[in-house]
Amino acid sequence: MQDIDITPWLQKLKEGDEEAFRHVYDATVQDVYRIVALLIPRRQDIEDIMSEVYLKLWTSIGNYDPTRPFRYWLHGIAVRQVQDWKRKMWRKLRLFERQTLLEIKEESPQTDHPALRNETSEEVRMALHKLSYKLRVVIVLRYYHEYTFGEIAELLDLPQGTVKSRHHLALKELRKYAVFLEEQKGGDCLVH
Amino acid sequence: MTALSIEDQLKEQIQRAARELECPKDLSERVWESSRRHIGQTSVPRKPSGQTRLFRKAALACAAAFLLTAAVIASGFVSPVMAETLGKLPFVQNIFRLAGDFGLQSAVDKGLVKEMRISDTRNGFTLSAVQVLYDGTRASVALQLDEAGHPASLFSPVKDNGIVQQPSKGKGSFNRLEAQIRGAKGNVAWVLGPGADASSAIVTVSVASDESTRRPAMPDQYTLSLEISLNGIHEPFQLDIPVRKNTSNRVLSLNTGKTFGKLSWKLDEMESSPVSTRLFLQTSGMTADGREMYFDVVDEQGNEAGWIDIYRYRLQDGRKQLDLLYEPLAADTRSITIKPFLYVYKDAPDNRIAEIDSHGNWTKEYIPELQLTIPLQKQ
Repeated sequence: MQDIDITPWLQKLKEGDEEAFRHVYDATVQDVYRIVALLIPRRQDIEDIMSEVYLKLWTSIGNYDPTRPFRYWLHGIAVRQVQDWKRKMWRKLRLFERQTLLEIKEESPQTDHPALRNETSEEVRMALHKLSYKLRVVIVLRYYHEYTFGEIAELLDLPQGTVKSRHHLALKELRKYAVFLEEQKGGDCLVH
Repeated sequence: MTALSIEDQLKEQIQRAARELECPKDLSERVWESSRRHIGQTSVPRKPSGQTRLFRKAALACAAAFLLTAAVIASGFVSPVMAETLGKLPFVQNIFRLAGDFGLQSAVDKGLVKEMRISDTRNGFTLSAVQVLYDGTRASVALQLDEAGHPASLFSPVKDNGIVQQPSKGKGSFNRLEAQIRGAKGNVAWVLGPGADASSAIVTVSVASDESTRRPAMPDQYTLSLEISLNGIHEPFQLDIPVRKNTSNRVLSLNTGKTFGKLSWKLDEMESSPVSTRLFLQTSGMTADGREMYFDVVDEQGNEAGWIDIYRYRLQDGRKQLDLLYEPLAADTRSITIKPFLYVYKDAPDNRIAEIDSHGNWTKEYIPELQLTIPLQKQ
């Protein structure tokens, strides 16, 4: 999102301008990929969800309030599309043979520069995907996007107390995976 | 060494993990193709309709109103109240003069505007193109919407936080537009501006210049097709408008520009007509916080040419190519000064909100080191 100044294109996008859509797409595709990839492990699912995100962006840009950050609004779309996707997948599991789905090899998102991939980062992603989705999304929004509990509650349409308790549970779970090597002395966030 | 809290470690590691995730190019292209295909399908497909019958009905209503108006004007007596009323009637309204940019207003004075009434009727609403102007760099069309002979609300934008928006989603309000030149969408761009009142609007269509010819790919004469969707009306309106260039333009081939730090710009060509000024320009680099350069143009008297439209796209080598359309310069302009600037944002680069000045406009930060005055040769 930092690479291209999209603010002037948003107005044209609101008017249904496809060229503006391309500019906004180029400026946001990495950001959307990252949030979806942190929330969903399978590459094919990431691609399908991203298509849904951009279709939703196109059809609902009229609802975007330009006095609020566009990125926050876009993240809301991404999170809701991931949730919709999860609901669809659950129905698929019920409707089709579970075995078939289980045989699909889980793929991690690829990077263009495999040499730069960091083992710790890989561990972080694996640890994230061990969390239930409800806990994972709170962690991603809190630590990747650095949203406040209030902002996360608004994005997920949940009471703030629920977000805080999920955050607490998520930290407890993450401690088990020993990804975080350094311990904080004192306080209740010790890594064991 | 002080150990990091688990929260700090999480933040650092998740952000690092995210940074290493790069959307593969093939995936990005597939998602774009899929999105592009889908958005093409979101416009309602057009079907044959009772357009002819409705058009005739609307045309009869128009003719009746015109005769009434003509009779009143012919009587020679137009009271101030009646003059105001007449001014509000779509037949009399000169949308370009009342609401157009400086170029359109001048075009009216110079007799360059073609008056017309090309209409399409859907669900009792008639959308008409009533004025057109084409100078080889932009085609501007005045649109008028009527509901059974009465003006209807088409476009009533408000400026909110520096952004023009249309708050009303009422029936007949503008929804989306697709413009084609000789049946092709190509690099056609458009911008919609307010009209003389809520029932009218002005659409300006331009095309990106070809990199090698430096010219916009717009022939001197063509049919401009506008497909316009209005809220609450199932089928889009189709207006096929014949346009013909009727200005003599002055084209200057230039190869000048400036560089400062990582930012640079180069002006390749400038085209002036009595109704617009077009700059064909390239930029490279951006600020550390990812802001792009924009350009104001002033003459030697300090008169600023207002923006009409901007078209920017990326070249293979990462530079950006811009077609900038401004209001016309006076014929005797001796020099222009290009003033590059950046918009000022209140928040972090990736969560931008434009800073608004006391006049409700986006705040600009000029870059004097990149400013350049270009003398214009006498014709």
